[in-house]
Amino acid sequence: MPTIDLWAVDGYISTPDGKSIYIWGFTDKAGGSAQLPGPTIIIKRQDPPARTMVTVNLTNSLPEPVSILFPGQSEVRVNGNPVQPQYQNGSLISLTNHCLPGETITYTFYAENSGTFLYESGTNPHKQVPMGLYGAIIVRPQDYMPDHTGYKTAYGTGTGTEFDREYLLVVGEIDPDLHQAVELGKPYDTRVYKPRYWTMNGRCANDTMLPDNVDHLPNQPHGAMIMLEPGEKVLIRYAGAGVENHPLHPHGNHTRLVGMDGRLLQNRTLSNTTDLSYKRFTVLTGAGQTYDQIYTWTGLGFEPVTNQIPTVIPNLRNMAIGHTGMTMWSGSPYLGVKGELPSGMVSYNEVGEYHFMLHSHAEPEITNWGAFPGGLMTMIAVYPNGTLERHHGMLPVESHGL
Amino acid sequence: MAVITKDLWAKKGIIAFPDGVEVPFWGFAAAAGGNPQLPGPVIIARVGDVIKITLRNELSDFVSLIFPGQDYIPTPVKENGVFTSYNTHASPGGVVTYTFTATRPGVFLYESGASPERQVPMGLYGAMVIYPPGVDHPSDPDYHTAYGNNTASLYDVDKVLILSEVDSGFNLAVDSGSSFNMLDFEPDYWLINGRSYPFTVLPDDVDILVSQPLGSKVNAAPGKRILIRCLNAGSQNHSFRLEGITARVVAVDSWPLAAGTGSIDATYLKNTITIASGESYDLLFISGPEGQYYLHDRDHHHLCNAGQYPGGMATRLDVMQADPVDVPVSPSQLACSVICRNGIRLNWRDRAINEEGCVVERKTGVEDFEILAFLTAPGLTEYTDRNVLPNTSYTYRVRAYNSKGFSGYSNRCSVTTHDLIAGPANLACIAVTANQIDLAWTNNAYNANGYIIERRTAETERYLVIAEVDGDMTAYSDDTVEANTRYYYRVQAYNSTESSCYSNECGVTTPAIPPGAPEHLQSVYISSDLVILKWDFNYTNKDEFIIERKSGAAEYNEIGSVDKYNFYYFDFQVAGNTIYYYRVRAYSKTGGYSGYSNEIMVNTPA
Repeated sequence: MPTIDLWAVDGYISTPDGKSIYIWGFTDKAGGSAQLPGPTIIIKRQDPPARTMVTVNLTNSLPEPVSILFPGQSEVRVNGNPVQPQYQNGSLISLTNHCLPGETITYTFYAENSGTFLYESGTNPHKQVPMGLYGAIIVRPQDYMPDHTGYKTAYGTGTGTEFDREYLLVVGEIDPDLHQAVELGKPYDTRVYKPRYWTMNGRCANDTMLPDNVDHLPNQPHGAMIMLEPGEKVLIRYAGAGVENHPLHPHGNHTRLVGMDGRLLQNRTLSNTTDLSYKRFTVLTGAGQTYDQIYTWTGLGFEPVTNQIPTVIPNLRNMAIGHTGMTMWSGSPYLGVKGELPSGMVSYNEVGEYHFMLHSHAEPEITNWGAFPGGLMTMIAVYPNGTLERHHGMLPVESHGL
Repeated sequence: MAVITKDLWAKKGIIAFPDGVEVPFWGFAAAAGGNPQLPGPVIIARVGDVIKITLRNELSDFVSLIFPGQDYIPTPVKENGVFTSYNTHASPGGVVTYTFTATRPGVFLYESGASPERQVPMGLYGAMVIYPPGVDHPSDPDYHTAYGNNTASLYDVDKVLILSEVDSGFNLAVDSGSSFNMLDFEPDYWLINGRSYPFTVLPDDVDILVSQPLGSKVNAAPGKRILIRCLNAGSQNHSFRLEGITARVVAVDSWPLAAGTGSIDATYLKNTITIASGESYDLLFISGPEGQYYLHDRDHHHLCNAGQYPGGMATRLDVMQADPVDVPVSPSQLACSVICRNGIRLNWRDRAINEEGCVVERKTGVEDFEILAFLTAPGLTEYTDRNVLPNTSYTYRVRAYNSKGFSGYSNRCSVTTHDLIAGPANLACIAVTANQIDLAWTNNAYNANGYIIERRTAETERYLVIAEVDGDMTAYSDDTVEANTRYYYRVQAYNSTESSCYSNECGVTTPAIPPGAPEHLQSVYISSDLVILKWDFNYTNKDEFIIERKSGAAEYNEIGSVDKYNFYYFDFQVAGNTIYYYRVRAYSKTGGYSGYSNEIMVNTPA
């Protein structure tokens, strides 16, 4: 049965405009720094009738009580008893059993449903969740076999949720004033909450497009760039960990929403199955909710000989991100073709792949303290067939072993 | 089919929040001369009923009503070509009647259609619940369903939760007729059924909330089908979380997702759902094991009253075997005592077995009692009032509550703070040496028998008593401290009857003790290209040794370091036929540098 040790600790994250922001968060390494978001917990369910009991040991190294809520999981318990809200001097402090500074608490729950879930603090949540005490849980179906056709699915074989690659995007917000107030031990009035940074996997654009585990972002280990080949089924898991709602959309194609809050969008009776999945362009990623989607890029007409596109190429200066003279563009409108670029312009395009945005359509959220580009934005990179290495978009079967 | 006749009086009133703030609002009263209510009176009807609402306007604005979701065509009003209302309005002092037939079941809003940007946030809204015709007849297939037979809406317990917000500054400005720029609308209270937590978990019709008669706590036995009907009357979107529960969404905006025989079942499961302004969601689940389940806004900043957690848009499902049948028995044996200059401790006996919490009330002198605290947990027998003044007489009383209402009051207890012992002040502490900290404070008490000195380290929150000294002392030396450690102190005075409050806290870090110096430095090998040094060291607090060298009359330079387990150094950077001088010192992260070892001279051969 999976056992995960988590520590609630503090630490610092970096933003692309050079800020260092104090956070509270979780780590799964003894003595480690807070990570944003907390370590992703990936669990594969047992074959029924065995139940998959998950144990989470939380050790609190912060100066106030901390707890973890597991929304969407079954029979969450502490010491064998169902979790209950906690009160101090008659006043609510935690929505679930908490652990005092320096102590350890053990939660157990049964992973009865596949899908994407959040875990998050239930203690002083107006402060602790925005400070970073949140993370995601992925539960894999019991028949998940990534190397077998038809068995690499989000919700089990036969549920129409097969995928080739998968990406998890945990979104949140940061009001630096809250973080500074907590760091200095000053009071903070939630009425003045005003985020200036928006994060995807703990990073603000353009850091979202960097690979996982880059040296200069030790506490933000996860990138958010979505890389795929035409025709592939890509499972994109949105998780809204902040306190606000964010309308996210990828350019290029709609997504098919197949599950929400770790529940498959399908109703099944003995005699028939109703597929409730549906296509969306923009998905309002609500606070505390998750959205599993299948995305397939089906662009037409990228063949330069048989299907020439009468493309008016934009002014080359507009093809760069910002005014840096740097571009992701290949120099050609055809996938897999690299064209000429003006001398002096640096292209990071590898093999003529396409890059386009996945972002919050609440546009002020794609800035870092008001400056574009930033915030809740990443790129989708479409690579010519056969050119994208297999390891991109491959999350492990399980994260924390048995 | 019945005719449901409802008279509503639009008028001014006062709503109260748990932090003691009272705010004017505009609402609908259900009777002439009655208090206006937030939200307006719930209108209950069956499909097929004729609903006839007579609006009597006692405000100085035009007021009208609109009925989103009903088969009803409003009549927009223009005056001098300018749009003024979505529907026929009542002038100040006037009356208007709206009549329509309820054609489909669901939970709907009724709300102001005149200057709605002001009137709806001011409180002119309410809910209308329309049931299928057979909802009350056990033999009818529609019995206990929200949307009729085969609509996946069969319930044992149903509860309407109306979500909204209040910006107290907006209410004050609008009620007094001042101008208010709607761009400045920033709510500071979030409500369910017109109340903010913890008022939400109080029973219906409590005497202290005359204009907020609806509680929102749900009581149910395990294994019951619970239908939560969330209706957003506010102007923000709310992501509503059912903590510990995954519910089935059975209807959106009162359109059932399983619309009867022959339709697909499009219901789906969620544990949190974003409810947009004006939307409604019907959420159905089976109650789990006994316990408390919070139902709340997942935007945690809406769990505050004027910026203070806990509060706001939260209520609770209590799963219990049996609902209380009676109000709780009143608490007894209330006693109060001064525990410090600014604290009074209350103790009472809890004689009830079915209470959900209690209310502590306080008064000074001949004033009326006021609510001091809402305690939202059962079984409590004590409370500390930390908001008291010296030389004041306080009287307290306590009563318990459950979903049936309030108990009677306990006995009263009174206490006067005039005889308080003043606490020590101006506590200062300095680290004299690495192992001694001196404390000094000002004596404010003429009647202190002694002082208790308490200490903690930076790693622990908990203070421990380290010493007691006589009442005429104002200083103390603590020689039980360790080097390079941060300590915090506080001091409390006491006499034969009471203790003072604590002094201020002071903190100081003791200096580090540097490691001792290495000894017996010697050369154990000398050649034209290598010198090997060796030394002795008898201390534990070091991290590394640093080796320095000079040649001739030059200054010493650091040439290398070795970690703490090495007592040798190999100097390969030497030339032949040269005179070198060496010395070594230790370094520790906590203690800094030691003194130097002896100096030695080495003359390398050619």
